[in-house]
Amino acid sequence: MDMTERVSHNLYRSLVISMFTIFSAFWLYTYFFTKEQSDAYTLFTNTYGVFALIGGLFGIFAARKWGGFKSYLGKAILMLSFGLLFQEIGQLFYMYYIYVAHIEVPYPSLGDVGFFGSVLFYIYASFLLSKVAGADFSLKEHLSSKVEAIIIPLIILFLSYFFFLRGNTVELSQPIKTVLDFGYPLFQSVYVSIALVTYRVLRFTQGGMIRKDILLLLVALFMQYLSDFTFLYKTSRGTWVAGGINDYMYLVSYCLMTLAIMRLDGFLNKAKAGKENA
Amino acid sequence: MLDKYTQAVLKIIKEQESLIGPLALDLAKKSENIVFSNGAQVTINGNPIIALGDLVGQYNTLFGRTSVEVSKLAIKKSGESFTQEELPEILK
Repeated sequence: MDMTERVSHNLYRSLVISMFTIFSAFWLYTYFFTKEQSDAYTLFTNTYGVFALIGGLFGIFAARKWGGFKSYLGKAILMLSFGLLFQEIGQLFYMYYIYVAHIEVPYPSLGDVGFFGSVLFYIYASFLLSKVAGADFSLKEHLSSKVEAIIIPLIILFLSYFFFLRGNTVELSQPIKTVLDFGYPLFQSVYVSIALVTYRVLRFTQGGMIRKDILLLLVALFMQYLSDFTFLYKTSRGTWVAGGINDYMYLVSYCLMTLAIMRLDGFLNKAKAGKENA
Repeated sequence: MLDKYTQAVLKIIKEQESLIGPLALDLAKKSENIVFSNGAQVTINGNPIIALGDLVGQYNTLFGRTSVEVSKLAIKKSGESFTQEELPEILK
């Protein structure tokens, strides 16, 4: 690996890890030692999205080295990066509505273009990652993979139905809200199902140094799903608070995704350096 | 007119590029038995079966079984026919 590239790569990673440590310490302080809706809560809520911004921008540059739109892996990184950036767009709109326009629950709003858009990007990203991981081949050859490819989505769909969909009603007077009420849990279950099936398929890939890097991306996608799931669960029961545990989950999720993309970039640099350095 | 091994090498690199991008060509250029000249002109030095095996082996080390399966498909797509004896172990 070129020395300059190695130094800058390590620098970016150290920066993200240091920032994550500071944000985590700040959140712990806020959560345990300040009152809900304090200025510290507000500060945390309004700033942690910067991880999504950093990860998204880094990913767009990193994806170019993997061929960008011309390769499956390049496209997967681009989709994950767009997903992160759309999360940040959603965060910024919600921030505006809550703190500037003083709308307590800005749902549905322009912010949902960001949040729902990110779900669509994650669906396509998980599909592309499944291609890179060789899901097609495993599904053709292994009965256990076929069974899992049916059972996993069914379990996730059941969970979505049980926790979110069964209580939903179709409100014709609010078509966008109705579409989002059904759309969020359904579409989120699609990307996490593909990610989980791909995770199971990885056991048949018989090596490949990239395995761990793909695994980390899948873990990041799963963490994103857990965050989304918790958000829907808490908001549907009126227990969600800004700056609470769910916002910290989103911070972890953005950070994991950013580090996973950076790790893949490091993998590429090592692979390019080849035998002498790899 | 390119021989069938050269055709296969070019097709494999192209298919790997659709999976992993420009790294596919970078890795191919590291193969000892495959020589690139004038951009993308390819010559195979020595035993072509070993050259093919080394190339796919490089992809396999980094990207695992997917890259091997993609290489097998690439050979089918190249339109050239190979007997089992004409292929390296990794592609059988």
